[in-house]
Order: sequence, then structure tokens, then C-alpha cells
Amino acid sequence: MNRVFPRFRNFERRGQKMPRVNWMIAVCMAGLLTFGVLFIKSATSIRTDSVHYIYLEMMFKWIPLGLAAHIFIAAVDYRKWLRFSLIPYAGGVLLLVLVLLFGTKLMGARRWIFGVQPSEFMKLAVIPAAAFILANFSDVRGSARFAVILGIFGIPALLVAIQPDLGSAMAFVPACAAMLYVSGCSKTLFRTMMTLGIFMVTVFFSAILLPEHLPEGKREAVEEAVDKFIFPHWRKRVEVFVFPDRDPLGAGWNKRQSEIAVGSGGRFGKGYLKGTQNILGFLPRSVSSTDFIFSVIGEETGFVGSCSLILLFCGLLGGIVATGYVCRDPAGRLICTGTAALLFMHIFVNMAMTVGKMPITGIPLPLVSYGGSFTVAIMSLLGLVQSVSIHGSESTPGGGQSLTKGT
Amino acid sequence: MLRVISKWIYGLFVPGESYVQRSKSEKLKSQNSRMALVFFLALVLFVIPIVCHMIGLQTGISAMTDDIPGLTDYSRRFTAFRGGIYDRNGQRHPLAVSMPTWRVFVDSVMIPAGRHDEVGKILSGFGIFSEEKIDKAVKPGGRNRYCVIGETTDRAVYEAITTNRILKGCTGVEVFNRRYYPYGELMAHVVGLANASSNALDGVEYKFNQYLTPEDGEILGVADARRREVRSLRKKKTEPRNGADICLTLDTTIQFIVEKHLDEAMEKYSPRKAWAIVQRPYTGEILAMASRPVFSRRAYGDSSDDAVRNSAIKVNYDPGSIMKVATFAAGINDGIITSQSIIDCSERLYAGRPLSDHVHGPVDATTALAKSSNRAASIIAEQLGKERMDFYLRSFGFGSRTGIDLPGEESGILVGPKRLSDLQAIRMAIGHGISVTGIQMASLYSTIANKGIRMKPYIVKSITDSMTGESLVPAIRPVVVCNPITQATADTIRSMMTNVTVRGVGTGWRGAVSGYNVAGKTGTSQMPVPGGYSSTDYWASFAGFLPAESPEIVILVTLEAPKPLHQGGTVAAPVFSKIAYDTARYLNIPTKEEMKISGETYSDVRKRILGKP
Repeated sequence: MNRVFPRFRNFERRGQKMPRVNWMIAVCMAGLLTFGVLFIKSATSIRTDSVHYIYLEMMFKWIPLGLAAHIFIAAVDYRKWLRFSLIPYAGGVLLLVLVLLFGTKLMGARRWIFGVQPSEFMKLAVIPAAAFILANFSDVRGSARFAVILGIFGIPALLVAIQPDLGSAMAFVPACAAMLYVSGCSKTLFRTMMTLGIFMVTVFFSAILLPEHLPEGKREAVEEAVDKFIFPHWRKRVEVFVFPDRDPLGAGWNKRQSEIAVGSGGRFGKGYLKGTQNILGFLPRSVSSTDFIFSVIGEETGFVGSCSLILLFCGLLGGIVATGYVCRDPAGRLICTGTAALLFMHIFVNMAMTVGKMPITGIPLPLVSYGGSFTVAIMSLLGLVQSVSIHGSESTPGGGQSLTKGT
Repeated sequence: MLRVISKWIYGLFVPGESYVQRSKSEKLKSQNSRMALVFFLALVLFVIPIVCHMIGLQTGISAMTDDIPGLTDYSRRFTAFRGGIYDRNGQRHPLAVSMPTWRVFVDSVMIPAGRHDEVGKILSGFGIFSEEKIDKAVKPGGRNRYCVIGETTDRAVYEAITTNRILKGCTGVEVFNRRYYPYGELMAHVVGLANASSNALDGVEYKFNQYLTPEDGEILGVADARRREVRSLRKKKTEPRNGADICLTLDTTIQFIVEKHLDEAMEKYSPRKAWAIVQRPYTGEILAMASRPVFSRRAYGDSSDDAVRNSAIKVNYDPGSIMKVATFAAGINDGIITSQSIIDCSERLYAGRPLSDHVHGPVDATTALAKSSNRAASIIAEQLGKERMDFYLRSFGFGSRTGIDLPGEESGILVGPKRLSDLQAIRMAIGHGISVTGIQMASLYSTIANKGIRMKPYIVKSITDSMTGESLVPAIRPVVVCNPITQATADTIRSMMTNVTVRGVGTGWRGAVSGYNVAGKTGTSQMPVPGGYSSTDYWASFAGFLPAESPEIVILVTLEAPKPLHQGGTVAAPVFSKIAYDTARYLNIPTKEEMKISGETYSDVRKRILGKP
């Protein structure tokens, strides 16, 4: 950066930490937040109720809050934060238990408590906790470490899955796998787990899709049996994905309309606030500002706009991965790996579902979708990555001790 | 070059690090390679397929579009109502009004199972639909989705049906804009007709269609996915504008009087056609105009041509002796005769042909008119000459339309003086060889009644915006057309005409009205048939006004081909008399005795009558 932009040399000369800020992450984050606010406004522009103002809420409440958390976390050495990483983890698990007991039931699932979704928070709290444990138990035997890390990820994933929120539970998987793989766990075990995972997914899909080929009489019985183990709405979503034309006005509506929205955007889009799919509510208004914000962007800005968004995400992920790549400390590296994997999972599952390449899951687009607690949490996690970027090259953090080398 | 670019890209992602390979432990190196592998795989497995798919989706290879014509169009219409037509007394006498009418139908398929009886009971509870139709509609197992059970103009019924929870799903209500004629066939020819689609066919409805026609309100906009309008994207909104209200100069009561007596005459003399006009001489307004036979409002299309035609303005006919008034007026005005002049009506050739007459020898002009002498009129015409005769006839309005505000007025036939033979000229003086319309004839008598000033006849009193009450046209006032004869002439001919209705003196004594002096003239003319004149079919007419001293109403009655009697004095005069008496009483015109008692002068009477609407 300093080679390209000589201005930053001055900072280095003065011995400040500013030049070590990863500007790529910062700029991409700012760009994505801007995209988010603009298109949340677009998605709610036609509404006359209070929902119309959620972009202002985003702009003046959640983003400043997230930015404050981001800067505060980035300013302090991540190794200090990691010592406390088990506290939010434990708190998150507690909330997940509470949510199962006392949560508000919405559309058949208990996900909300005290106005937040603990599962969203948990997805992020688990990464520093796992990084802390993986880095601190580097000398422990591979299989034991494996078990510990599986436990760390498994407990919250299980709690989320029985809410039921299978989509969010699945979000833990890639982060877990990536962190295990990068930290270098037992290869045999890893491969076994991967095989098992693929096997499970296969069983899952075949359980849903195979009854299709059974004769009439037996089919219902098998489907009923399957529904006891898998949630019926999941069957719907997978069916919609595999047979998109079966029910275009019911279960297949969202997928179809989202595809139409993105497709009708064309090369350059219909123009800001002019997307008919969005404005006229063909894209259901309940999801257009959250899970389906990418189809709003695709419709109104076209191929150029959506590719810009993808580029911004690639820049963000690239910045995170590069930060981990040059970090000399395994803990920082694992934080970056986990964050990148988690974000990657969210971004591309969301985009793939929007353009009709994956079954629909309730996974939001990080930093762009409307969602207060989730945005603050993501920005905090990026603050931790920024902290890795700023403090990662120091062998001993200012005034503190290295977690990896000392104690 | 490549090195510089890669350095730059590296610098973008990694701040504060120089592009040098730093020494790292084996472990970190393996971790590095793993990280790189993971994200390379992610890129290949996820990002590239998605971007490729987007290229297909958005740049046209497998593009999905929302380009469905009309999918998001939204439009809604608000019915506006055709303006009403009222008589001279305004809203109290609606002659034609438009009202929302709701047609109620049942969708048999949508009746909830087992509730057929209940639906039937609710519908029959309104008491306005036929039980038979309801039973048919709510019969269980019915497959008819559009069983019309009746119509209503009652908004309460409409609201009760649309808000009833059970009926909501299985009954429908369509709104229509229906034209109603509360007075039925009264004034049918003047008011005219607008059919079910509000297309005007005749009369005032047709002539003033542009004022009466409503403008429907409309919303054009954009519909959302649930077919509701998106308010902020509304393109156009126009408010419904009801048509203008029109008040006629006609009076429902006088019209009723006229039609009643015409109907009686129709029964008594069974003429082919008959028409009558009541006009106010000093303004020109038409107080009543009736023609017989009349069409049926329910079967306009099946009515005969005679019934459809407003004969009072659309029939050209030879007026006969009632035209002599014009001849005598012209003679007096040009100084050829006075009321006392002796005219020699002896047997001789008139313009080379003999002329039959019921007056023989020399008589004074007043008697000649009273007895309706053909020869006297011919002599006057001869002395006037063709040019002067033509001048007077045209001044009285013959040969051209009067300009009354009704459609399809005829102009009559008046041949110009240069093409006129001498015989034709003197025949015209007695009302043959000239065609006139009823309204022209009424206009002639009005001119005499109005001291020689000819007024334009009119039938529309006001055109007002039905919502604001503002007038849409400049105030409609009486219009003077011309002044064909002097006031002195008019006074003379008026007093001469008074003798017509005096028993034993004039031919029209049956046209006398008890209590009033009536000025009038009878007329009987043979109907032209191919090759000559019919010896059986006549036009019998009587025209006159009262009170003769200060005329308030001018009345013309004509019957076409009455049987068995055919004389104007015996057929038309009694009708005139009855109409005149009833109308005079209705208008509160005092009789001679009443005037003596009350001491009212004629100018007081006129003021009083004009003070009324």
C-alpha cells in the first residue's frame, strides 16, 4: 500500500500503526455497507408503514454502533481479546438454551429472545473461541484437539438446529472445517469427517427426493416417515430447487421471482428505485430487504452492479485471507481463516440461492442485508481481523504477552 | 511488468509488508499452502459458477425477464351519471334522470355446502327479488355461475348484500348506469330518448348530448403483485364529472293537459297524426309540445315512424286557412285593406281559375276573415303581388327553420317569387301550395299576439352543472328575430281574429273559451296525393291565443286526416278550446268577470305570470 500511495509512508516514519490497517478490508466494508443502506431503502421505498424507515435505523443506529465496536476491537491487540473469547461463547450458548425454553415463536421456530437472534451472534462468537483453543492446545494430540473443536462447534450448531434453523446450523460447518484443516489436524480423522459429511448430505437429499420415484401407494408412507426426521419445509425447499416449475405460485414463488428479478436487471439494471419486481412486491416484501437483497441489487443495477458487489466481497475476503496469510501467529491466522470461511459461506450461499442455484435458506448477505445485531456482530469480527492486521506482526503485543509463546 | 503488477496487488491486500519472502517455520508454511488451497477451491467451486450463471441470467443467454404486457397495469373507473332533464319548475319534475342500478346475481357453485336454504332465505328477505328466480339460483347442485335474480336502485340493498358474510362469497353485484323517465311517455318527443348504453337517440337528449354526457373518473397506475394499486406510482387520476342538468321551458302540467286532450281527440276522430303546441308569445318559450301517436319507451325500436317522429316540428303540411291571417296581416300592413275595407268576393276567375268559396258578394275584411273567405285572401295576395307576399311570408318565418333547439326540424317549402305562377301565388294566400311546420305556424300566431314582433321559439331554459349548480351557457333569454308587421297592424288583425270565435259570425266558434276573448283562425286543407289533392284526407287546424286583449298563450292544434269530420272548426277548434281553458285556469289567467271584480289590469296579470318560474 505504501508503495502505491506514498502518503502512507509518513505514518510509518512516525512509527504509527495506521499503515498496518488493512485498507482493503476497510474500503470494502464501507462499500458494502453503502450498498446495503441504499438497497434496503430501495426494498422498502414503497412501503408507507414504519418499515420504510429501517434504512435510517441501519444508517444512524446499527452502522455507527458496529463501527464503534469495529474500531475499539481493532485498536486493542487481538491476543488480549482472545483471552476473553470463551466468555461470549459461553454467553451465546446460554442464550441459545434460553431461546429454546422461552424464545418467541415466529413461523414455527423459536429463534428470537430479547429482540435478538442468538444464533446469528453465536456464529461469530464461536470463531475466536475456536481460534483460542486451537492455538493454545497446539501441543495436544491431534484426535483430542479434533474432538474438542468438534465440541466447540457442535454444541451451538446442535442447539441452533433444534430451534429449528437448519440453515444457520449449516453455517457452522465450513468455518469449522476450514479452521480444522488450516490448523493441521489429523488427516485421517479429517477425511473421515468429510466423507461422513458428504454421506450425510447425500442421505438427506435422497430421503427427500427418492420417494418421488416410488409408486403412489408407498410414496405417502415413506414421505411421512421421512418428515418425522426432516422438517417438512425443508422437503419443500429442496423440491422447489430440484423441480422449480412444480409450484410457481406457492413454494416456488420466491425462487422464481428472485430469478426473474436478477434476470430482468439485464446488463445495466433498471435504475435505482425502479426495479418493478422489487417495488411492486413480486419479490415478497418480507424478505426483499433481508435475505433477497441481492436480487434487488441485481434487478436495479444489473450485471455491472452485481459484479461490483461480488468484487467488493472478493476484496473483503481477499483482505482477510491475505491478513491471515502474512500473520506469523497461528491464533491470528485461525481467526482470519474462520472469519473468511464464515463470511464466504454466507455470501455465496445467499447469492446462489438468489440466482436459483441452491435451495432457499434463511441466510442473510453479510453487511448488505438488513439486520441490526448481525451487522454489528460481523463488523466486530472484522474488527478482530483488523486487529490481527495491525498487531499480528508484533512478536509481543504492546504491554501484553504472547498467548502462543508465553504462559 | 508482471512483477510490478503482482507487487501492487499484494500491496493492496497486505498493508505495511514489503514484498519479500520472509523466513517462516515449516508449520506456518504448510498452513500457508493449506489456506491458499482452501480459498482457491472456494473460488473455483463457488464464485466462478455463480458469476457464470449471472452472465447467463443477466446478459441474455438464459435470461429471465418480467416483460409481460399489462401485468402491472392498474386501472379503475368511477361511474359518472348522465345529466338530468327537468321541466321549467326544476328538480321537482324530473323528466329524465340517471341512477345507479345494481344487478344482483348468484354464483351457484360458490354457495357453501349445506347453506343453500340460508342464502335463499336472506335473498328473499329483501322482498324485491322474485322467489322463483331465487329458488332456481340457490338450488343445491346448481352449476350456473351467473344467475341474475333481479335489479335494484336501493343503495341499502346493495350494501346489505355486499357486507353480508354469507352472501359475500356467492353473490355478486354489478353496477349499471340506467336512464329513467319517471313521466313515461309524457313529453317523450321533446325529451327524447337515451338507450341502455346512454346513447342519445332523439329530442333534447340528442341535441344536448354533449352537455348531458358524463365523464367517467379514472385512475391509471401501477398494480403490485397482489393487484393492489401502488399509490406513489399513480399516473393519472380524473374525478368523475356528472353531466349537466337541463331545465326545459315546458311545463309538465300544461303538457299533461295538452296530451290528455290530444288523446281524447285521437280517440274521437282517429286522425292519422295530431300535434299541438302551446307557446308564450312575448318570450317565444314553448310551454308544451305534443305529437300523436307517441312511441313506447319500452319498445322504441318497434314503434312506427309516425310514433317516433315529433310531428310538431318534423312534418311539412299545407296549413290551409290558418295561413289567411298572414295574408290579411300583410294586406293591412301594406295599406291595401283595413278592417273595414269592402272586398268583392264575387264569382269570377282568380288567376285564370275559378275558386270555390263560402262567401259571396262584397263583404268587409273582418267578416271575410271570420268566414274564412278564399276569394278575399286571393284578392289581397293579387294586390300585394308576389314579391311583397314572399317578403311577408319569409318575415313571418316560413321557408326556413325557426331554430328551435330540437333536432331534425323541417323548414317547410316556400317557392321563391320568380318561379311562382300567379295561380300558385294566390293559392299560397289561402294556405295551399306552401308547406309549413307546426312550430312555424305557432310562431306566426305568436308574432301577431306579440304586437308584430317575432320571437325565436326555444325549449331549453337553463343548462347547469349538476354538481355546482353553475350555468354552463350564457343565460338563455328571449330572442327577437324580426318585426314583420307594425304594432297597429297586429292590433287590427288581432281584433279581427276575435270575431272568428264568435258564434254566428266566425267559423271557429267551437274554439271559444268561456270567460275569455279568444283570437284564432280555423284551417282545413286537403292533403296532397299523387296527381292532385285528396278528397277524403284533410289537415284540420286551429290556431289562436287568449286573452285576445293581452295574449298570454298561443295554441296550435292540427289533426291529420281526421274521420269522419274533417273541418278545422269542428275537429280542431274544440280541442283548442279545452286545452286553452285548462291552461288558462292553470296559469291563473283571470277571466273577464274575474278582472272586473279584482280590478287587475292585463299588465298586472302579465307581471304576476312572469313572476312565476
